[in-house]
Amino acid sequence: MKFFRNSLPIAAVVALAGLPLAANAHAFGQQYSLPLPVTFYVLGGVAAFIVSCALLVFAGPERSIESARTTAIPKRIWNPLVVAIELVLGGALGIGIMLGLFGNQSASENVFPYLFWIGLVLIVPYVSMLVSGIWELGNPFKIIVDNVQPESQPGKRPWKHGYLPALIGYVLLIVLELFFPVFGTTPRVLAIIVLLYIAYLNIGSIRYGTKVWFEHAEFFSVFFALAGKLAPVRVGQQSVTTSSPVSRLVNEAPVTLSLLAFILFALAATAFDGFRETETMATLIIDLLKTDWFVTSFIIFLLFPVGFYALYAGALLAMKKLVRGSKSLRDYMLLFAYSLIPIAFAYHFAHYFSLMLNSLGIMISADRVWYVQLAIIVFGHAFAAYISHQVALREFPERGRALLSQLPMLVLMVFYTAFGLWVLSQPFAL
Amino acid sequence: MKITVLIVVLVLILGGAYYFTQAPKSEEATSTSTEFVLRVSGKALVDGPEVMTVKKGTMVTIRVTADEAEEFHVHGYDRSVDLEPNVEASLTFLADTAGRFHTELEGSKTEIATLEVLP
Repeated sequence: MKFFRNSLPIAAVVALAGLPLAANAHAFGQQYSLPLPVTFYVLGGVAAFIVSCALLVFAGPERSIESARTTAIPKRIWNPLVVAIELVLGGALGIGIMLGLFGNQSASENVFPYLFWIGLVLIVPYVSMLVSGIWELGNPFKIIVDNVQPESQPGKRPWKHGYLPALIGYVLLIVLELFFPVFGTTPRVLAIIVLLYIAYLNIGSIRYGTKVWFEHAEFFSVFFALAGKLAPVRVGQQSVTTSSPVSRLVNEAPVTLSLLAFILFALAATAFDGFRETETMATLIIDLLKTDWFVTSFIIFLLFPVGFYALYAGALLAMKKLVRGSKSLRDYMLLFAYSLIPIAFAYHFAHYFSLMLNSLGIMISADRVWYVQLAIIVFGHAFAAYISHQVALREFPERGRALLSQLPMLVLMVFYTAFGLWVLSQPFAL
Repeated sequence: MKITVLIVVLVLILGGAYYFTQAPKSEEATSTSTEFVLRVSGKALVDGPEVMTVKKGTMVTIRVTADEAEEFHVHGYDRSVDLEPNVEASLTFLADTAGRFHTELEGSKTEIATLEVLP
Protein backbone atom coordinates (compact mmCIF):
# COMPACT_ATOMS: atom_id res chain seq x y z
CA MET A 1 0.00 0.00 0.00
CA LYS A 2 2.81 2.40 0.93
CA PHE A 3 4.68 1.68 -2.30
CA PHE A 4 1.51 2.13 -4.36
CA ARG A 5 0.62 5.30 -2.48
CA ASN A 6 4.08 6.75 -2.91
CA SER A 7 4.35 5.76 -6.55
CA LEU A 8 0.92 6.85 -7.75
CA PRO A 9 1.55 10.60 -7.44
CA ILE A 10 4.93 10.25 -9.18
CA ALA A 11 3.37 8.24 -11.99
CA ALA A 12 0.60 10.79 -12.35
CA VAL A 13 3.08 13.64 -12.38
CA VAL A 14 5.15 11.97 -15.09
CA ALA A 15 2.05 11.25 -17.14
CA LEU A 16 0.52 14.67 -16.76
CA ALA A 17 3.79 16.48 -17.25
CA GLY A 18 4.04 15.20 -20.79
CA LEU A 19 0.85 16.91 -21.84
CA PRO A 20 0.51 20.66 -22.35
CA LEU A 21 3.99 21.66 -23.45
CA ALA A 22 2.58 24.43 -25.58
CA ALA A 23 0.37 25.85 -22.87
CA ASN A 24 -0.01 29.59 -23.03
CA ALA A 25 -0.51 31.71 -20.00
CA HIS A 26 -1.65 35.21 -19.32
CA ALA A 27 1.09 37.55 -18.19
CA PHE A 28 1.79 37.38 -14.48
CA GLY A 29 3.55 39.62 -12.02
CA GLN A 30 1.46 42.70 -12.72
CA GLN A 31 0.27 44.71 -9.76
CA TYR A 32 -2.03 47.63 -10.49
CA SER A 33 -2.40 49.17 -7.04
CA LEU A 34 -2.01 52.86 -6.26
CA PRO A 35 -0.27 54.32 -3.22
CA LEU A 36 -2.46 54.35 -0.13
CA PRO A 37 -3.92 57.85 0.37
CA VAL A 38 -2.64 59.80 3.36
CA THR A 39 -6.09 59.62 4.95
CA PHE A 40 -5.95 55.83 5.01
CA TYR A 41 -2.42 55.85 6.36
CA VAL A 42 -3.24 58.23 9.19
CA LEU A 43 -6.51 56.45 9.99
CA GLY A 44 -4.73 53.11 10.04
CA GLY A 45 -1.99 54.31 12.35
CA VAL A 46 -4.45 55.96 14.72
CA ALA A 47 -6.69 52.89 14.69
CA ALA A 48 -3.75 50.63 15.48
CA PHE A 49 -2.85 52.81 18.43
CA ILE A 50 -6.41 53.02 19.74
CA VAL A 51 -7.00 49.28 19.38
CA SER A 52 -3.74 48.52 21.21
CA CYS A 53 -4.67 50.81 24.09
CA ALA A 54 -8.21 49.42 24.21
CA LEU A 55 -6.89 45.88 24.43
CA LEU A 56 -4.57 46.83 27.25
CA VAL A 57 -7.40 48.42 29.20
CA PHE A 58 -10.27 46.06 28.47
CA ALA A 59 -8.84 42.66 27.58
CA GLY A 60 -8.60 40.23 30.43
CA PRO A 61 -6.96 36.81 30.44
CA GLU A 62 -8.48 34.03 28.38
CA ARG A 63 -10.84 32.17 30.73
CA SER A 64 -9.63 28.75 29.72
CA ILE A 65 -7.40 27.09 27.22
CA GLU A 66 -9.77 26.22 24.41
CA SER A 67 -9.57 22.56 23.63
CA ALA A 68 -9.38 21.38 20.07
CA ARG A 69 -12.21 19.45 18.53
CA THR A 70 -11.18 16.53 16.35
CA THR A 71 -13.36 14.67 13.90
CA ALA A 72 -12.06 11.39 12.51
CA ILE A 73 -12.36 10.93 8.75
CA PRO A 74 -13.27 7.45 7.47
CA LYS A 75 -10.54 5.74 5.47
CA ARG A 76 -12.75 5.54 2.36
CA ILE A 77 -12.81 9.35 2.31
CA TRP A 78 -9.36 10.07 3.76
CA ASN A 79 -7.28 7.99 1.35
CA PRO A 80 -8.77 9.47 -1.85
CA LEU A 81 -8.53 12.94 -0.30
CA VAL A 82 -4.81 12.52 0.37
CA VAL A 83 -4.21 11.12 -3.09
CA ALA A 84 -6.12 14.05 -4.60
CA ILE A 85 -4.00 16.55 -2.65
CA GLU A 86 -0.82 14.75 -3.70
CA LEU A 87 -1.95 14.72 -7.34
CA VAL A 88 -2.81 18.42 -7.36
CA LEU A 89 0.40 19.59 -5.71
CA GLY A 90 2.63 16.98 -7.34
CA GLY A 91 0.98 17.41 -10.70
CA ALA A 92 1.41 21.16 -10.57
CA LEU A 93 5.09 20.78 -9.75
CA GLY A 94 5.73 18.12 -12.38
CA ILE A 95 3.84 19.92 -15.13
CA GLY A 96 5.47 23.15 -14.14
CA ILE A 97 9.00 21.76 -14.33
CA MET A 98 8.34 20.14 -17.71
CA LEU A 99 6.84 23.35 -19.09
CA GLY A 100 9.72 25.28 -17.65
CA LEU A 101 12.33 23.09 -19.26
CA PHE A 102 10.68 22.49 -22.64
CA GLY A 103 7.92 25.05 -23.06
CA ASN A 104 7.80 28.59 -24.37
CA GLN A 105 10.56 30.60 -22.69
CA SER A 106 8.61 33.84 -22.50
CA ALA A 107 7.49 34.44 -18.89
CA SER A 108 4.15 35.78 -20.08
CA GLU A 109 3.52 32.73 -22.27
CA ASN A 110 4.58 29.96 -19.88
CA VAL A 111 2.48 28.95 -16.89
CA PHE A 112 5.42 27.71 -14.77
CA PRO A 113 6.51 31.10 -13.34
CA TYR A 114 2.83 31.65 -12.50
CA LEU A 115 2.57 28.26 -10.77
CA PHE A 116 5.70 28.98 -8.77
CA TRP A 117 5.42 32.66 -7.77
CA ILE A 118 1.65 32.91 -7.51
CA GLY A 119 0.56 29.35 -6.79
CA LEU A 120 3.31 28.15 -4.48
CA VAL A 121 4.59 31.38 -2.93
CA LEU A 122 1.20 33.14 -2.50
CA ILE A 123 -1.84 30.86 -2.80
CA VAL A 124 -0.54 27.92 -0.72
CA PRO A 125 0.38 30.04 2.35
CA TYR A 126 -2.93 31.93 2.15
CA VAL A 127 -4.81 28.62 2.04
CA SER A 128 -2.63 27.41 4.94
CA MET A 129 -3.82 30.42 6.95
CA LEU A 130 -7.33 28.98 6.71
CA VAL A 131 -6.71 25.23 6.59
CA SER A 132 -3.31 24.01 7.72
CA GLY A 133 -1.79 20.61 7.08
CA ILE A 134 -2.57 20.39 3.36
CA TRP A 135 1.04 21.02 2.42
CA GLU A 136 2.28 18.43 4.91
CA LEU A 137 -0.08 15.87 3.37
CA GLY A 138 0.88 16.51 -0.23
CA ASN A 139 4.32 18.15 -0.16
CA PRO A 140 5.57 17.23 -3.66
CA PHE A 141 9.20 17.72 -2.66
CA LYS A 142 8.80 15.21 0.16
CA ILE A 143 7.03 12.77 -2.11
CA ILE A 144 9.98 12.90 -4.49
CA VAL A 145 12.50 12.49 -1.64
CA ASP A 146 10.48 9.60 -0.18
CA ASN A 147 10.52 7.90 -3.58
CA VAL A 148 14.23 8.48 -4.15
CA GLN A 149 15.03 7.13 -0.69
CA PRO A 150 12.68 4.15 -0.20
CA GLU A 151 12.26 4.71 3.51
CA SER A 152 12.56 7.82 5.61
CA GLN A 153 16.01 7.69 7.05
CA PRO A 154 16.71 8.67 10.65
CA GLY A 155 19.83 10.51 9.54
CA LYS A 156 23.51 10.06 10.24
CA ARG A 157 24.13 13.37 12.02
CA PRO A 158 22.40 15.13 14.91
CA TRP A 159 20.63 18.38 14.09
CA LYS A 160 22.19 21.51 15.59
CA HIS A 161 21.23 24.27 13.18
CA GLY A 162 17.75 25.34 14.25
CA TYR A 163 15.90 26.82 11.27
CA LEU A 164 18.95 28.46 9.73
CA PRO A 165 18.83 26.52 6.43
CA ALA A 166 15.16 27.43 5.96
CA LEU A 167 15.96 31.07 6.71
CA ILE A 168 18.84 31.04 4.22
CA GLY A 169 16.49 29.48 1.68
CA TYR A 170 13.97 32.27 2.29
CA VAL A 171 16.63 34.95 1.86
CA LEU A 172 17.81 33.36 -1.40
CA LEU A 173 14.24 33.14 -2.69
CA ILE A 174 13.65 36.84 -2.06
CA VAL A 175 17.03 37.74 -3.58
CA LEU A 176 16.03 35.77 -6.68
CA GLU A 177 12.65 37.52 -6.81
CA LEU A 178 13.82 41.08 -6.23
CA PHE A 179 17.39 41.24 -7.54
CA PHE A 180 17.51 38.64 -10.30
CA PRO A 181 13.95 38.71 -11.63
CA VAL A 182 15.13 37.65 -15.10
CA PHE A 183 16.36 34.34 -13.65
CA GLY A 184 13.28 34.03 -11.47
CA THR A 185 10.92 34.46 -14.40
CA THR A 186 12.81 32.67 -17.18
CA PRO A 187 10.97 29.33 -17.20
CA ARG A 188 13.97 27.09 -17.90
CA VAL A 189 16.20 28.79 -15.34
CA LEU A 190 13.45 28.61 -12.72
CA ALA A 191 12.91 24.91 -13.48
CA ILE A 192 16.63 24.21 -13.05
CA ILE A 193 16.62 26.09 -9.75
CA VAL A 194 13.72 23.97 -8.53
CA LEU A 195 15.51 20.78 -9.62
CA LEU A 196 18.62 21.90 -7.73
CA TYR A 197 16.42 22.54 -4.69
CA ILE A 198 15.07 18.99 -4.94
CA ALA A 199 18.66 17.66 -5.10
CA TYR A 200 19.54 19.77 -2.04
CA LEU A 201 16.57 18.29 -0.16
CA ASN A 202 17.69 14.77 -1.05
CA ILE A 203 21.25 15.36 0.11
CA GLY A 204 20.09 16.91 3.37
CA SER A 205 17.63 14.10 4.00
CA ILE A 206 20.36 11.49 3.61
CA ARG A 207 22.64 13.40 5.98
CA TYR A 208 20.17 14.41 8.69
CA GLY A 209 17.05 12.34 8.15
CA THR A 210 13.95 13.24 6.15
CA LYS A 211 11.77 14.28 9.07
CA VAL A 212 14.32 16.59 10.67
CA TRP A 213 15.42 18.06 7.32
CA PHE A 214 11.93 18.88 6.15
CA GLU A 215 10.93 20.36 9.50
CA HIS A 216 13.93 22.67 9.74
CA ALA A 217 15.47 23.16 6.30
CA GLU A 218 12.69 22.93 3.71
CA PHE A 219 11.75 26.60 3.37
CA PHE A 220 8.21 26.05 2.09
CA SER A 221 7.37 23.63 4.92
CA VAL A 222 8.59 26.08 7.56
CA PHE A 223 6.82 29.05 5.92
CA PHE A 224 3.51 27.24 5.49
CA ALA A 225 3.70 25.80 9.02
CA LEU A 226 3.97 29.33 10.40
CA ALA A 227 1.03 30.47 8.26
CA GLY A 228 -0.84 27.41 9.51
CA LYS A 229 -0.60 28.64 13.09
CA LEU A 230 -3.31 31.15 12.15
CA ALA A 231 -5.63 28.49 10.78
CA PRO A 232 -8.76 27.50 12.68
CA VAL A 233 -8.88 24.19 10.81
CA ARG A 234 -6.18 21.55 10.51
CA VAL A 235 -6.16 18.35 8.47
CA GLY A 236 -3.89 15.46 9.30
CA GLN A 237 -3.66 11.99 10.86
CA GLN A 238 -6.91 10.95 9.23
CA SER A 239 -8.85 13.70 10.97
CA VAL A 240 -9.99 17.30 10.83
CA THR A 241 -9.29 19.40 13.90
CA THR A 242 -10.80 22.77 14.72
CA SER A 243 -9.03 24.88 17.30
CA SER A 244 -8.48 28.49 18.15
CA PRO A 245 -5.37 30.06 16.67
CA VAL A 246 -5.33 32.25 19.80
CA SER A 247 -4.52 29.36 22.12
CA ARG A 248 -1.90 28.07 19.66
CA LEU A 249 -0.12 31.41 19.36
CA VAL A 250 -0.29 32.07 23.10
CA ASN A 251 0.72 28.64 24.37
CA GLU A 252 3.42 27.81 21.84
CA ALA A 253 6.74 29.50 21.27
CA PRO A 254 9.78 28.78 19.13
CA VAL A 255 12.82 27.28 20.83
CA THR A 256 15.42 28.84 18.56
CA LEU A 257 16.18 32.42 17.60
CA SER A 258 16.53 31.31 13.97
CA LEU A 259 12.75 30.79 13.76
CA LEU A 260 12.16 34.23 15.28
CA ALA A 261 14.56 35.61 12.66
CA PHE A 262 12.53 33.78 9.99
CA ILE A 263 9.31 35.48 11.14
CA LEU A 264 10.95 38.90 11.27
CA PHE A 265 12.48 38.35 7.83
CA ALA A 266 9.00 37.66 6.45
CA LEU A 267 7.88 41.06 7.74
CA ALA A 268 11.03 42.90 6.69
CA ALA A 269 11.25 41.38 3.20
CA THR A 270 7.66 42.36 2.40
CA ALA A 271 8.27 45.87 3.69
CA PHE A 272 11.40 46.16 1.57
CA ASP A 273 9.59 44.87 -1.52
CA GLY A 274 7.13 47.72 -1.13
CA PHE A 275 9.78 50.29 -0.27
CA ARG A 276 12.11 49.58 -3.20
CA GLU A 277 9.60 50.80 -5.79
CA THR A 278 8.95 54.13 -4.09
CA GLU A 279 10.10 57.64 -4.87
CA THR A 280 11.72 57.71 -1.42
CA MET A 281 14.05 54.85 -2.34
CA ALA A 282 14.88 56.47 -5.67
CA THR A 283 15.59 59.82 -4.00
CA LEU A 284 17.73 58.16 -1.34
CA ILE A 285 19.95 56.30 -3.78
CA ILE A 286 19.98 58.55 -6.83
CA ASP A 287 19.83 62.03 -5.31
CA LEU A 288 21.28 61.66 -1.81
CA LEU A 289 23.75 58.77 -1.79
CA LYS A 290 24.54 58.91 -5.52
CA THR A 291 25.74 55.29 -5.44
CA ASP A 292 25.25 52.21 -7.59
CA TRP A 293 21.58 51.26 -7.56
CA PHE A 294 22.00 47.47 -7.38
CA VAL A 295 24.64 47.41 -4.63
CA THR A 296 22.96 50.09 -2.52
CA SER A 297 19.50 48.56 -2.77
CA PHE A 298 21.00 45.18 -1.82
CA ILE A 299 22.60 46.71 1.26
CA ILE A 300 19.29 48.35 2.20
CA PHE A 301 17.59 44.97 1.68
CA LEU A 302 20.00 43.39 4.21
CA LEU A 303 19.53 46.26 6.65
CA PHE A 304 15.75 45.88 6.74
CA PRO A 305 15.66 42.53 8.61
CA VAL A 306 18.58 43.57 10.78
CA GLY A 307 16.67 46.73 11.71
CA PHE A 308 13.42 44.88 12.37
CA TYR A 309 15.27 42.34 14.53
CA ALA A 310 17.10 45.07 16.44
CA LEU A 311 13.83 46.92 17.11
CA TYR A 312 12.21 43.73 18.40
CA ALA A 313 15.21 42.95 20.63
CA GLY A 314 15.18 46.54 21.88
CA ALA A 315 11.49 46.38 22.75
CA LEU A 316 11.91 43.11 24.64
CA LEU A 317 14.95 44.47 26.47
CA ALA A 318 12.90 47.49 27.51
CA MET A 319 10.14 45.12 28.64
CA LYS A 320 12.59 43.05 30.72
CA LYS A 321 13.96 46.20 32.38
CA LEU A 322 10.51 47.69 33.06
CA VAL A 323 9.15 44.58 34.80
CA ARG A 324 12.52 43.47 36.19
CA GLY A 325 12.00 40.11 34.50
CA SER A 326 14.00 37.18 35.78
CA LYS A 327 14.28 35.42 32.42
CA SER A 328 17.00 36.10 29.90
CA LEU A 329 16.42 38.49 27.00
CA ARG A 330 16.59 35.49 24.64
CA ASP A 331 13.78 33.75 26.55
CA TYR A 332 11.52 36.83 26.37
CA MET A 333 12.26 37.27 22.67
CA LEU A 334 11.19 33.68 22.04
CA LEU A 335 8.16 33.91 24.34
CA PHE A 336 6.57 36.75 22.36
CA ALA A 337 7.80 35.65 18.91
CA TYR A 338 4.52 34.14 17.71
CA SER A 339 2.66 37.37 18.43
CA LEU A 340 4.43 38.73 15.34
CA ILE A 341 2.90 36.10 13.05
CA PRO A 342 -0.45 37.93 12.57
CA ILE A 343 1.32 41.18 11.64
CA ALA A 344 3.77 39.41 9.32
CA PHE A 345 1.12 37.54 7.38
CA ALA A 346 -1.38 40.39 7.40
CA TYR A 347 1.21 42.64 5.84
CA HIS A 348 2.23 39.91 3.38
CA PHE A 349 -1.40 39.47 2.32
CA ALA A 350 -2.07 43.20 2.10
CA HIS A 351 0.96 43.64 -0.12
CA TYR A 352 0.44 40.72 -2.48
CA PHE A 353 -3.28 39.88 -2.62
CA SER A 354 -4.01 42.25 -5.51
CA LEU A 355 -1.09 40.73 -7.45
CA MET A 356 -2.54 37.28 -6.78
CA LEU A 357 -6.02 38.35 -7.98
CA ASN A 358 -4.63 40.12 -11.05
CA SER A 359 -2.68 36.99 -11.98
CA LEU A 360 -5.89 34.98 -11.70
CA GLY A 361 -7.49 37.40 -14.15
CA ILE A 362 -9.50 39.23 -11.49
CA MET A 363 -9.16 43.00 -11.86
CA ILE A 364 -9.84 44.79 -8.60
CA SER A 365 -10.10 48.56 -8.50
CA ALA A 366 -7.30 50.31 -6.59
CA ASP A 367 -9.70 52.01 -4.19
CA ARG A 368 -11.14 48.65 -3.15
CA VAL A 369 -7.58 47.42 -2.67
CA TRP A 370 -7.04 50.30 -0.20
CA TYR A 371 -9.97 49.24 1.96
CA VAL A 372 -8.78 45.65 2.04
CA GLN A 373 -5.20 46.68 2.82
CA LEU A 374 -6.28 48.98 5.62
CA ALA A 375 -8.67 46.46 7.15
CA ILE A 376 -6.24 43.53 6.93
CA ILE A 377 -3.30 45.44 8.37
CA VAL A 378 -5.25 46.92 11.26
CA PHE A 379 -6.90 43.57 11.97
CA GLY A 380 -3.51 41.83 11.89
CA HIS A 381 -2.15 44.43 14.25
CA ALA A 382 -5.09 44.05 16.64
CA PHE A 383 -4.75 40.29 16.62
CA ALA A 384 -1.00 40.51 17.22
CA ALA A 385 -1.46 42.97 20.08
CA TYR A 386 -4.08 40.70 21.62
CA ILE A 387 -1.78 37.66 21.44
CA SER A 388 1.08 39.64 22.95
CA HIS A 389 -1.19 40.81 25.75
CA GLN A 390 -2.37 37.27 26.50
CA VAL A 391 1.23 36.01 26.62
CA ALA A 392 2.05 38.84 29.03
CA LEU A 393 -0.90 37.98 31.29
CA ARG A 394 0.34 34.39 31.49
CA GLU A 395 3.94 35.37 32.10
CA PHE A 396 3.23 38.18 34.56
CA PRO A 397 0.16 37.21 36.63
CA GLU A 398 0.03 40.63 38.32
CA ARG A 399 -2.08 42.76 36.00
CA GLY A 400 -0.06 45.92 36.62
CA ARG A 401 3.17 44.18 35.65
CA ALA A 402 1.54 42.68 32.57
CA LEU A 403 0.29 46.11 31.44
CA LEU A 404 3.72 47.63 32.04
CA SER A 405 5.36 44.88 30.01
CA GLN A 406 3.14 45.68 27.06
CA LEU A 407 4.11 49.33 26.70
CA PRO A 408 7.28 48.59 24.69
CA MET A 409 5.34 46.00 22.65
CA LEU A 410 2.65 48.59 21.95
CA VAL A 411 5.25 51.01 20.62
CA LEU A 412 6.93 48.26 18.57
CA MET A 413 3.74 46.96 16.99
CA VAL A 414 2.38 50.42 16.24
CA PHE A 415 5.72 51.19 14.58
CA TYR A 416 5.63 47.98 12.48
CA THR A 417 2.04 48.70 11.45
CA ALA A 418 2.56 52.38 10.77
CA PHE A 419 5.73 51.65 8.82
CA GLY A 420 3.91 49.07 6.73
CA LEU A 421 1.12 51.54 5.98
CA TRP A 422 3.66 54.30 5.27
CA VAL A 423 5.41 52.10 2.71
CA LEU A 424 2.08 51.39 1.04
CA SER A 425 1.33 55.13 0.92
CA GLN A 426 4.57 56.18 -0.74
CA PRO A 427 4.35 57.38 -4.35
CA PHE A 428 5.95 55.10 -6.89
CA ALA A 429 9.20 56.09 -8.54
CA LEU A 430 8.90 56.92 -12.23
CA MET B 1 -16.66 42.14 24.45
CA LYS B 2 -13.19 41.95 22.91
CA ILE B 3 -14.51 40.89 19.52
CA THR B 4 -17.21 43.57 19.67
CA VAL B 5 -14.64 46.26 20.36
CA LEU B 6 -12.50 45.08 17.47
CA ILE B 7 -15.43 44.94 15.06
CA VAL B 8 -16.65 48.41 16.09
CA VAL B 9 -13.19 49.85 15.61
CA LEU B 10 -12.82 48.21 12.20
CA VAL B 11 -16.20 49.53 11.07
CA LEU B 12 -15.25 53.02 12.27
CA ILE B 13 -11.95 52.87 10.40
CA LEU B 14 -13.52 51.75 7.14
CA GLY B 15 -16.40 54.18 7.49
CA GLY B 16 -14.02 57.02 8.21
CA ALA B 17 -11.82 56.07 5.31
CA TYR B 18 -14.83 55.94 2.99
CA TYR B 19 -16.16 59.30 4.22
CA PHE B 20 -12.88 61.18 4.01
CA THR B 21 -12.00 59.86 0.58
CA GLN B 22 -15.22 60.96 -1.10
CA ALA B 23 -14.82 64.01 -3.37
CA PRO B 24 -16.62 67.17 -2.12
CA LYS B 25 -19.87 67.93 -4.01
CA SER B 26 -18.80 71.45 -4.90
CA GLU B 27 -15.81 70.19 -6.90
CA GLU B 28 -15.92 71.33 -10.52
CA ALA B 29 -17.02 68.72 -12.98
CA THR B 30 -14.21 66.50 -14.20
CA SER B 31 -13.62 65.94 -17.85
CA THR B 32 -15.33 62.85 -19.22
CA SER B 33 -12.79 62.28 -21.97
CA THR B 34 -9.07 62.84 -22.17
CA GLU B 35 -6.54 62.42 -24.93
CA PHE B 36 -2.84 61.71 -24.70
CA VAL B 37 -0.30 61.84 -27.51
CA LEU B 38 2.83 59.69 -27.30
CA ARG B 39 5.74 59.53 -29.69
CA VAL B 40 8.17 56.62 -29.47
CA SER B 41 11.53 56.50 -31.18
CA GLY B 42 14.32 54.01 -30.67
CA LYS B 43 12.10 52.08 -28.24
CA ALA B 44 11.92 55.11 -25.93
CA LEU B 45 9.30 57.74 -25.25
CA VAL B 46 10.54 60.95 -26.86
CA ASP B 47 7.41 63.04 -26.61
CA GLY B 48 4.39 62.85 -24.31
CA PRO B 49 3.77 62.32 -20.60
CA GLU B 50 5.53 59.50 -18.72
CA VAL B 51 2.52 59.33 -16.43
CA MET B 52 -0.98 59.79 -17.85
CA THR B 53 -3.40 60.58 -15.04
CA VAL B 54 -7.17 60.44 -15.37
CA LYS B 55 -10.16 60.02 -13.08
CA LYS B 56 -12.09 56.77 -13.04
CA GLY B 57 -14.91 56.88 -15.56
CA THR B 58 -12.98 58.92 -18.11
CA MET B 59 -12.96 57.90 -21.76
CA VAL B 60 -9.25 57.75 -22.55
CA THR B 61 -7.76 58.10 -26.00
CA ILE B 62 -4.06 57.42 -26.47
CA ARG B 63 -2.59 58.39 -29.84
CA VAL B 64 0.74 56.70 -30.45
CA THR B 65 3.34 57.09 -33.17
CA ALA B 66 6.39 54.83 -33.29
CA ASP B 67 9.31 54.59 -35.66
CA GLU B 68 8.94 50.84 -36.07
CA ALA B 69 6.24 48.21 -36.43
CA GLU B 70 5.10 47.22 -32.95
CA GLU B 71 2.12 46.59 -30.75
CA PHE B 72 1.17 49.18 -28.12
CA HIS B 73 -0.36 47.43 -25.12
CA VAL B 74 -2.08 48.79 -22.00
CA HIS B 75 -1.72 46.27 -19.16
CA GLY B 76 -4.62 45.62 -16.85
CA TYR B 77 -7.16 46.84 -19.38
CA ASP B 78 -5.48 44.49 -21.84
CA ARG B 79 -6.07 46.85 -24.75
CA SER B 80 -3.68 47.03 -27.65
CA VAL B 81 -3.25 48.53 -31.08
CA ASP B 82 -0.85 47.63 -33.88
CA LEU B 83 1.65 50.30 -34.86
CA GLU B 84 3.03 50.90 -38.35
CA PRO B 85 6.26 52.90 -38.69
CA ASN B 86 5.53 56.64 -38.43
CA VAL B 87 1.78 56.12 -38.71
CA GLU B 88 -0.30 57.39 -35.79
CA ALA B 89 -2.53 54.79 -34.19
CA SER B 90 -5.25 55.45 -31.69
CA LEU B 91 -6.61 53.48 -28.76
CA THR B 92 -9.82 54.51 -26.97
CA PHE B 93 -11.33 52.86 -23.92
CA LEU B 94 -13.25 53.65 -20.77
CA ALA B 95 -10.99 53.84 -17.70
CA ASP B 96 -13.48 52.21 -15.35
CA THR B 97 -11.01 50.56 -12.96
CA ALA B 98 -8.75 52.61 -10.70
CA GLY B 99 -5.10 51.69 -10.57
CA ARG B 100 -1.68 52.12 -12.08
CA PHE B 101 -1.23 50.45 -15.45
CA HIS B 102 1.94 50.19 -17.46
CA THR B 103 1.92 50.57 -21.20
CA GLU B 104 4.53 48.87 -23.32
CA LEU B 105 5.65 47.92 -26.77
CA GLU B 106 4.61 44.30 -26.69
CA GLY B 107 7.10 43.00 -29.25
CA SER B 108 10.20 44.22 -27.45
CA LYS B 109 8.62 44.27 -23.95
CA THR B 110 9.68 47.92 -23.57
CA GLU B 111 7.81 49.98 -21.02
CA ILE B 112 6.68 53.30 -22.46
CA ALA B 113 4.44 55.22 -20.07
CA THR B 114 2.14 54.64 -17.13
CA LEU B 115 -1.58 55.23 -16.98
CA GLU B 116 -2.85 56.22 -13.51
CA VAL B 117 -6.59 55.99 -13.04
CA LEU B 118 -7.56 57.71 -9.82
CA PRO B 119 -10.77 56.81 -7.96
